[in-house]
Parts: sequence; structure tokens; C-alpha cells
Amino acid sequence: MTTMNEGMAMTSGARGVRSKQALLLVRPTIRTIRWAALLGGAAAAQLVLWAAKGELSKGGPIPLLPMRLAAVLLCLGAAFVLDDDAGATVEAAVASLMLRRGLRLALTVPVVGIAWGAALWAASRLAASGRGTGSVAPPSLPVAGLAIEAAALLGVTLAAGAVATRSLGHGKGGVAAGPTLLAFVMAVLSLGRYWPLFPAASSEPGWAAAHARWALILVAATIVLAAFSLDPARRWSILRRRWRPQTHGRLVRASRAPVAGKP
Amino acid sequence: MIAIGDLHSRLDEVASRPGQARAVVTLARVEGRRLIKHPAVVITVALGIVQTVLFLLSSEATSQHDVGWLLQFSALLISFGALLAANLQASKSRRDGSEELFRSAPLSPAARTVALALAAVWLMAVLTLLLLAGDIAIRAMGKGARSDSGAALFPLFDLVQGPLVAGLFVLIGIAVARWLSRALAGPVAIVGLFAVGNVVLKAAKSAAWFRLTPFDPTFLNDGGALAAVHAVYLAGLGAIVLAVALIRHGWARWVRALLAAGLVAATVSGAFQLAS
Repeated sequence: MTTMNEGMAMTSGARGVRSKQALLLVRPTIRTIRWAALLGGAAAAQLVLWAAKGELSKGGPIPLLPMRLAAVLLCLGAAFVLDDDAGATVEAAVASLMLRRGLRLALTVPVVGIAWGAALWAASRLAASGRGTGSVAPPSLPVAGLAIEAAALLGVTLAAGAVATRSLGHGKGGVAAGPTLLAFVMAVLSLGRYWPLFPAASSEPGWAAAHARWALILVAATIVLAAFSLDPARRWSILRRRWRPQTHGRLVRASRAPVAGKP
Repeated sequence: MIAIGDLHSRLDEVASRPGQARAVVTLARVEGRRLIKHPAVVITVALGIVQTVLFLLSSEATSQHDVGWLLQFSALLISFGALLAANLQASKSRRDGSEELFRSAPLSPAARTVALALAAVWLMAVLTLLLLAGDIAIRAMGKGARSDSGAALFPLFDLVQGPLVAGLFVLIGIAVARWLSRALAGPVAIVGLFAVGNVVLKAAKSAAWFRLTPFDPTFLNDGGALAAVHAVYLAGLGAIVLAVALIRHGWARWVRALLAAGLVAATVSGAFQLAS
């Protein structure tokens, strides 16, 4: 009972230390994030929407292509979020890769969310500006559907960045993540007639099915991101523990055996 | 005794200028092989092949006889991949911080840019072969499907325009890399081109300026003169884009001449297309 209490006290103590470490890491992490790319992506997203002002304010069903282009541009800006030029140096630090990446995502995903919200607001304002004061209510943006699409695209980008960082090294994941996102979008467009993911309007019959697929893509991307955010050494030690042969007991017994009759 | 005569002749050999043209061609060959093996190009080629095969094997190929769009869409897809690959290749030395090392090499930055531009020839050759293979596949499937050229043996316009557009996109990728060496610039340029292309496609096809885009269908019914003028127009645009890339290294006389030639070719051929 005493041992269990001591164990629980140690665990809560360790958690307290981890929380303090995370708080101490916030300011240095903010300094290492490439905010210029993120803000550049957000600005490009707004630019695309304003450039499509004529199309959005035309009346009738709201075209979704400008919002999708804005989502892709936002995700291209977010592709460099996981890049850490000092990644190789801090690999040996106490804070795990999962904690460091989690901190980066906790600081940047809300910013991406705010930029996306601003894009949706701008698009809805532009769409409303072209409509007269008729008796028929203007169609609204399918916010939930577009948000799932944007979240899935962001998930794909970050997962690609995590995989690329593992393959190419720290600070280089973003270079591969952006092109991977574009390749994914091109693949979706090429094979769209067999696996539609970009329906033209929320009133189309395949809208719900398409967004169920987007949700699956988001889940898969999150799993890949989490898997590639485990410390490589820790990952291999988990695997090694499973298939290592049981020689530990024999070694302990052998080490205790007297040598040449000595105790 | 020191052989003074031999020493002077060796000094002459050392002091003579290296063959720039041969070095540029050699570098172009190396960069061309890297370009066609780049993952961006390989993936877009694979996507083009997969979507073509899936369509030709489907029942839609029987109802839709005119499937020339398959080749055009695939060529455009590969062009986008080539733009990204060329952009990443051209900006690699500045992103890696090895640009200073390259500046110590005999080839000037402008010569290296020309070599990267010449590497586009490799991609254009590969795309030509793929378009030929695609057209043969469309005809071999039977089912009444055919490309836009109809009775002609090969889609001559697609075989000329497709590779020229791919070459133009490679030059755009290089120009973007020369002016903006960030890794984000290439992907953003692709999204921008896609947005512009979408605006063009949605515009009225009867507009006169539609002739200046690759999507005007009147090229197909023409005997070849209009298609030839359009090819000159695309080559002129390519010369302008290459000159813009080279201006980054300085306003040399030959760069100004290239820009002037490109502007004249594009303007004259564009005017011919609008007037016809």
C-alpha cells in the first residue's frame, strides 16, 4: 500500500515537472516557428478570395472553389510548422519529440483556425454583397463541410511534414510537405470521378459521403502524425521489448553463480 | 636547367577560357536527367497514366467518343509537376546555403540558369513520347474513342502544344526560384496558375483573347497555320520568362536581346491569332 502511494506520488510529481517544462518551452518554441510562411499563406488565402469577388457575389449557389483554394494556400503556409532547425541538437533533451511537436501544434493550429475563420467570414461577406434584398433567403456557406475539408488537408500536410522530417532530417520537412499536399490534391482531382471528394455544392447527393471520406482521411493523417512524432529510439525499444528473447533471467542467475568456488 | 619554353606553353593552356557552351550542355544533360526522375514529375506521370487507363477501361469511354481531353489534362498535370520540380531544383543551392560554393565554379550563375532551362528539353521529349503512347492507347482500345485530331494519325497539335506548355512551365518554375528562393514560392505559384487557368476556362469561349490560351478549340479545325503561330507564341512567352530569370543576374546585352526577341515573337504571333 505504501509502495503504491509512493508510486502515485512520483507519477503526479513527474506530471508536474513535465507541465513546468512545457511552460518553460513556450517562448523558445514561439521564436523557432516560421511565422512568416504561416502568415504568408493566410495572406495569400485572403487574396484569392478577394480576387474571386466577382464569382462569389454573382448570386445563386456559392462557388466553393475559391474557399478550397484558400484552404490549400493556408495549409501550404502551415507546412513549415514542424520544421525545427535545432531539431538535431535538442533530440537528446529531456522533453520528448511528442511534447515538443505538441507544443508547436498547440501554438500554431489556433492561428490557422483564426485565419480560416477570417477566410470564411470574408467569403460569406463577399457572397452576401452580391445578393439583393429579395424574399428568398440567400444560400449560406456549408461551413461544417468546408471545415472538415480544410482540417483534413491540414492533417495531410502535417503528416507529410512529420514523415519527411524523419526521412530528410530536421528543418527539411516543410520542403516536402507542401508538394505532397499538392500531389494529394492533384490525385483527388484526377481520380475524382471514381472517388469524389470535391462536390460542387452542399445540395449534391454525394456531399455527406464525400465528407465522411474526408473525416477518414483526417483520422488517418492524425494517426500517421502521432506515429511519426514518437521518438525513434523509444519506438524501437517498444518493438525490441516485444520480440527480445527471455535471456535476462539466465544472465542474472549466471552472474550470481560463484566463480572458481568463491562466494 | 629550367625548360622555360615548356613553362610558357603550359601557362597559355591554363590561361585559356574554358568551353562555356560545352559545360552548359553537359550540365543541362545532368539536370535534365534529374528533372525527369524528380518525384514531382514521376508522381504526376503516374497519375496521368492511371486516370487515362481507368477511363479507357470504363464504360464511359464508349459513350464519350471524343476523349482528347484525357491527353490534354494529363499533359497539364505533368506540366504542373515539372514546374514544381524545376523550382525546387533551381532553388536548392540557395536553400541549402551552397550557392557560394557554386559561385566558385567556372560556370556563371547565368550559365547555370541557361543549363537548367535547357534541361526542359528532356522533359518535353518524355512528354511527347507519353502523348504518342496515350494516343495509340486511345485508338487501340477501340470503342469508337478518339482524340481531338479525329482522323489524323497523331494529335499533332497536342504533340506540339503539350510539350511547349510543359517547357514554359519549367521556365516559370526556374524564374520563380531565381527571384524567390523560398520553398513556399513554387507551390504558391502552382496554386496561382491553377486559379488563373480556372478563370480562363470559365470565361466566354467566344472572346477574342481566348485564342491566346491553350484551350481554344479552333486550332483543331485549322490546317496547321494557326497551330504553328500558336507554337511561336508559346516559344516567345518562354523567351520572355527565361529573360526575366536571367535579369536576376544582371542586364547583359544578350539577355536584353533575348527579352526583345521574346516580346516581338509573342506580340506578333498573338496579334496574328487575334486577327484570324
